[in-house]
Amino acid sequence: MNKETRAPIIPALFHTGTVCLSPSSPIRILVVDDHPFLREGVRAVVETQADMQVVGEADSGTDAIIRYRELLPDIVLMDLQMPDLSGDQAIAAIRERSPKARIIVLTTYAGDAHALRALRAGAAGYLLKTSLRKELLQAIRSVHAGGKHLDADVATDIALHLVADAPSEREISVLSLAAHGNSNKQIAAKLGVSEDTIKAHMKAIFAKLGASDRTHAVTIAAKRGLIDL
Amino acid sequence: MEEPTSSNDAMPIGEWAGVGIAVAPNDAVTAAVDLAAAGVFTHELSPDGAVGGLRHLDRAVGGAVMRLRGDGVFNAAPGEILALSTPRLPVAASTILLVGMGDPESWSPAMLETAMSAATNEALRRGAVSASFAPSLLDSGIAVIDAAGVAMAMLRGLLSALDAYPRRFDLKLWVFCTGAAHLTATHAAFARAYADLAREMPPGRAP
Repeated sequence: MNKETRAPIIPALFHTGTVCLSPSSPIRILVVDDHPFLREGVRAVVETQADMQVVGEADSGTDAIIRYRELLPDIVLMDLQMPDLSGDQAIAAIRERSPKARIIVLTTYAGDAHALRALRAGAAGYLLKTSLRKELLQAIRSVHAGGKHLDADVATDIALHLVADAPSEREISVLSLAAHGNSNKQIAAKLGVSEDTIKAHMKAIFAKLGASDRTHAVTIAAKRGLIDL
Repeated sequence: MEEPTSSNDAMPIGEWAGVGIAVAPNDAVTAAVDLAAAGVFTHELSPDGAVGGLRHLDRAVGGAVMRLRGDGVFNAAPGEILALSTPRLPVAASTILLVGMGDPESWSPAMLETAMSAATNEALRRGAVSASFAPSLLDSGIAVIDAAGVAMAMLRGLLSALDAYPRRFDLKLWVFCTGAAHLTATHAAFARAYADLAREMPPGRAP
């Protein structure tokens, strides 16, 4: 049925104002990523849509905060790993000043820890760079309208790992040092504790991550976004 | 009439704005549509948590529905929406849409109208050709349900959103999900509600 020929079905039930059929102003988007090629790619995809417009780009977390203040975009597409300030730190900073800012993370990181940090910082969407073009466009429209959008696999990862006991901040510190090639003795010296304490931490880490050895633990932790290599 | 026994047994209700409306014995996991919406309350009334289709959905996405709600990523406030894109099998839909239903202690059919409008608007925005909605009332522990009021509220929510959408849309099918055991009764309630709404239309506007 032709949309323009229809009238509200029940005047008493539905609004009686004029339905706006003209296109509304486009969704104004800020693209934040330290890779120019990625920014160009996103711009190329977005600008095929009549209802969207890229109004600016930023190549770091700090630049994103500045550009957000200047441009006040409707949507920010935010990478996570960038120079000087990470994406989740930039999200928190933007949301602190502008609590209604709508931010979608567009990242290569599928790990639950990355996603949870970003969502807790105030991101309304979390998409992987492997997502389909259609998903990105749908997420932009959805978040612009006040919704949230998550990749289902990321959501499942969050759920699966929240069930498990998460490693403590101290245990993450120990594992980060192990990931950078330090022995238990070296880690103990750096943290000012005994080697037995580090062994106990490592044992707890293995149990919490379901790891069989320290290499396995480092691999799992990096994949989940608990540590950065 | 024989009792329908499979997910192919969608029972038509009518059509509005080019969108066929039906009731089918599906849930958000089994509905083979572009976007499968499921109502989610702030909590379940039963201490055992969600049952039925809502529990089926939560399990199909690894517990994500309850975890995202528990962690505050999705608060289930009335009309709040969260889309989960490209879910894996056994979910048949391309996108799962969680739709906030608010507090089940103060639930009323009006909350369903809000939820339905939110789900419909999201389906239209996403360019879905087919969509479904499972209200999760029984699944959330709401035992006393006015079937006529529920059907009327859901239809009002759907039709008002279709009517108010400011752009052309691709949607061709909307399915209201129900348990197989309730299919005949649910279909009858929707058919009555649809007929009542049709009678309220201006002359010449009846479908």
